[in-house]
Amino acid sequence: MRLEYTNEDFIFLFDFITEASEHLLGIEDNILKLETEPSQSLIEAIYRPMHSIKGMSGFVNLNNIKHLTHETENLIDLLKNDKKIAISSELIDLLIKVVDRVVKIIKQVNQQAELLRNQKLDSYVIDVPDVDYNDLLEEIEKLKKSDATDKAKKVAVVKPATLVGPSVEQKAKLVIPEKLKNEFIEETYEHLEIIDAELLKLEEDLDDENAITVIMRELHTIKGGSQIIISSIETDILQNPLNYIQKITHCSETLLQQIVKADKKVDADIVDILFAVSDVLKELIANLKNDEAVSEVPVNILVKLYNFTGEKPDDKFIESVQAEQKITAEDFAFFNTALQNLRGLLPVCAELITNPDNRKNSLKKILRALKTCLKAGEYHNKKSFIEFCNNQITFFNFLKDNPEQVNDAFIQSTIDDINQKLVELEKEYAEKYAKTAQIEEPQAGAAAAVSGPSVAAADKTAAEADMSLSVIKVPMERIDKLMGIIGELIVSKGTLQILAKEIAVKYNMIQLSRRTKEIADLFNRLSDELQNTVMNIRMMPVKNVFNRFPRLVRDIAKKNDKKVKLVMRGEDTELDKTVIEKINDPLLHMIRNSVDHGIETPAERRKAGKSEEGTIILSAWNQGNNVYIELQDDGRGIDEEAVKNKALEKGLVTETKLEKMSKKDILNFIFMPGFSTAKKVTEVSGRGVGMDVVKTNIISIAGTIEIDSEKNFGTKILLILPLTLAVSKGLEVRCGDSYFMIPLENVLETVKINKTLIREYKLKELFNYRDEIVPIVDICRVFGMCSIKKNEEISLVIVQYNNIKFALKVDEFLGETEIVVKPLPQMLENLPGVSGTTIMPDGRVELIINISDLI
Amino acid sequence: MAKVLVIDDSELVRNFHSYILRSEKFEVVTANDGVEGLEKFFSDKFDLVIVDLNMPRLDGYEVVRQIRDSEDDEEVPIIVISTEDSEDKKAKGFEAGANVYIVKPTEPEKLVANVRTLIGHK
Repeated sequence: MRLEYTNEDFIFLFDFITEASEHLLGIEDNILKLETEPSQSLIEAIYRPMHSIKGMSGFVNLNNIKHLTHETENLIDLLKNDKKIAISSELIDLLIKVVDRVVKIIKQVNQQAELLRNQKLDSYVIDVPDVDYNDLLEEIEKLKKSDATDKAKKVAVVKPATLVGPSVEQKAKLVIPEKLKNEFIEETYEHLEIIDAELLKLEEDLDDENAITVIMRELHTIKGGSQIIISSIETDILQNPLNYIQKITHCSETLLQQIVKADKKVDADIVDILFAVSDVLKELIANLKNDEAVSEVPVNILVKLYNFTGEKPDDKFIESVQAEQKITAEDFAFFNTALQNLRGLLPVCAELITNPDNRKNSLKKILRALKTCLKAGEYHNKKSFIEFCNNQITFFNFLKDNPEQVNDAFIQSTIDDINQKLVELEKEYAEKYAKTAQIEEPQAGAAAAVSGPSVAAADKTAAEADMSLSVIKVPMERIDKLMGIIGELIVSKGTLQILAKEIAVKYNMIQLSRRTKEIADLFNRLSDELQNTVMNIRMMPVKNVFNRFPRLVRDIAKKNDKKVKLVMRGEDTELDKTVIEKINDPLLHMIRNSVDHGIETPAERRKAGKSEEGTIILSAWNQGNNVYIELQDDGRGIDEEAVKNKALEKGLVTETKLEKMSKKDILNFIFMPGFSTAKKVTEVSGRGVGMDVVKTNIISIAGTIEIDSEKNFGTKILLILPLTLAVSKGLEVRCGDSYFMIPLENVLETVKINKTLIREYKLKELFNYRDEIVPIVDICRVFGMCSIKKNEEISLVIVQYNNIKFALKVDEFLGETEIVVKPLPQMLENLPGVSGTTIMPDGRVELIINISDLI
Repeated sequence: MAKVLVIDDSELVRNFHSYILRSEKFEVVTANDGVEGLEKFFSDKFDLVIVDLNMPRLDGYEVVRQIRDSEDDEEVPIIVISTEDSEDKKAKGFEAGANVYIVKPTEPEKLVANVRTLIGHK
């Protein structure tokens, strides 16, 4: 099956996808909570979004979702109202399956929709995903029937005929002499092309009188042509496109005439309207070409034109147009209102007798219903019905003032009256409904096939503009582009400062220098603000990543017969999208490890004196320029001894060295590649599968990872992440003739020491930095450049990477600057020691040193 | 210009309804839920209220009830819009004081026609 969307429906489809996806995440979350701590409010919290999805899916014609969510909603309803079914793991599983299935459907729709998204089409066709959900429906039925009392209640309910009128508009055929018509169509296309061209000119220069004259002339010609054809054919069909062509061209002409005569100015609004006129005319010509009647009347554009010209609109014309167009809807509105209110009124009438204490209230309701009916009758000009309503209102008003007059006979006869009217109305409606159905049925298929372009589409876009959307979707690449530009802006903002200095120093023009500096400051401030704003656009809450973990934890725990509770904190902490994308996998690994190996089985936990249910706490928070994400569990922890043994066994470290190592350093062994995958350690320590992967991932986004664990008490892993990847700060240094950038997040300190303080050991230079022996790396040597000239005083940058400190020997410190990291071109991607490049204010390209490569 | 208050917890539905009504030259004010709806209702004057039934914080029935409780003779027309198609939910809507009940999904023309019917010529 395929679905066809018009332009604006297509926008709604995206709204639906976004909103439904959000709802589904929430639902899943709550279903999981429901298993552990059932409560009415939770059931409510599942029911409501499910209900919303059902409602919304109806709008966008995704009937499979509507059906499935509807059945599920019924199931939850049983849970909600009378607790007819119990919350079982069976039920939870089923609900999760439903969510998965709906997600699957939405994903498929989304994939298709994304493909069509950037195309400008008249209609968007989407295949309904062929996702079978009958198995779920069966399961739902089974669960529903699991309770016997439910069956007893299932008495067949006879549904009154619903008031749904067919909505497909009739498309009448037009008969117009072929030759005349074709000539007119061709000519009109040409005229419209000229009009478009002139409109563009007019838009450029609103005073272009020549353009106005040309447009007027062309419009006039079109009008004349349409009149000739109208007079030559016998037609009084309102939907004849020619009628509208004539009307619209006439009004547009009037508009322009007024402008010329009154010497008024053309403004942007008028140009817009004229563009819309041209679009509508094109649509109408297309209709004419295909011999179709107008399916949707371009009332809006006419109203707009009338508004502008102030000309008295041809009331009869518009009204008859609207009546023609909306006959089913108007009838629906009348019958819906009348029938509903009369039906609703009946039980209340009976109450006047059965519940005399509430008489005042009942009368109020009855009068309200009758007045509503009267209003409907008046609006739709139904004379006999108005009379009927007036009589009833008088009667009940009388009762209101003389309550003692209420008696069985009186009321009963009134009920009979109303009943009779109801039957009458229902009959009338059924007759009308049957009639329209007859006319439209054979056309339904054909109409559906061509229903795409609508005449009103063009002027609807104007209305669309004031539709207020609080959220817009923007393709990522646009933001990336913006980021790139802003990056260069930030870099170039330094140029002005340099220029100001140069003017003062080199040319000694203090005044000019000062003014340049003022501008530079302003420029600085604005570009900083711009940068921050764009950064904020890219920020996303970690919730987006966290949200899938409850499900993951539950699945793994269930598979291993463990009881695990996942507590999440600080889900609203925001991170740059690029960072968010990169932390998903590491976190997934870490959590899987925690549940799989960290948390013990319930039996083991009991033995260890812990509660059977293990707890994993996942928290996120902001601190300084970083975001911290911590995963903590109360499992068995990492066995330090086992790690030590393994490290020795693998020859990673000597025994003497090991003795001197701190606990932290020892635990860090689990990040070594290949270290933890060995089965033995996994069995003993139960930790570390894929920890090297985690580390590599985190390092690749300039984050750090810290681990702490206490045997039998649990493990804590802390990720320290940069807020963003794109912009950071760097320390510029000079080595020989080359300049390098060292990322500031790695820099601890810069020191200048005397040459004599450097010790040499096994060809390595070392020095004592705050009671720590730190190795010195000579950048010049790393990059194979000539060595630095021998100075008495040596400049060192102390850097830290993942708890390892070392010093970089440089010639000169040049200062701290903001840098925009540009990735290396592909062929240089694997260059060791360099993580990227940055452009300096004066246009030079500098290499950014990758500290991790230098260790 | 007639002023309509649209109370619905779904952004999609709110946008949809406001879009339809605005393009038919109604002034539209929206509210996210019952509580906000009542706040807006009592701080302004409306020609018509469109309210959803299932909403967080305060449901549609209660919204209608509270509006009716606050009124004397002059009553504002209220349209209840919901996916609920059952007769007893409709009856409950009338019980609370609604004028018309429309089942979602709403067809634009029908919604507009109903709104016009209840507001009358203006």
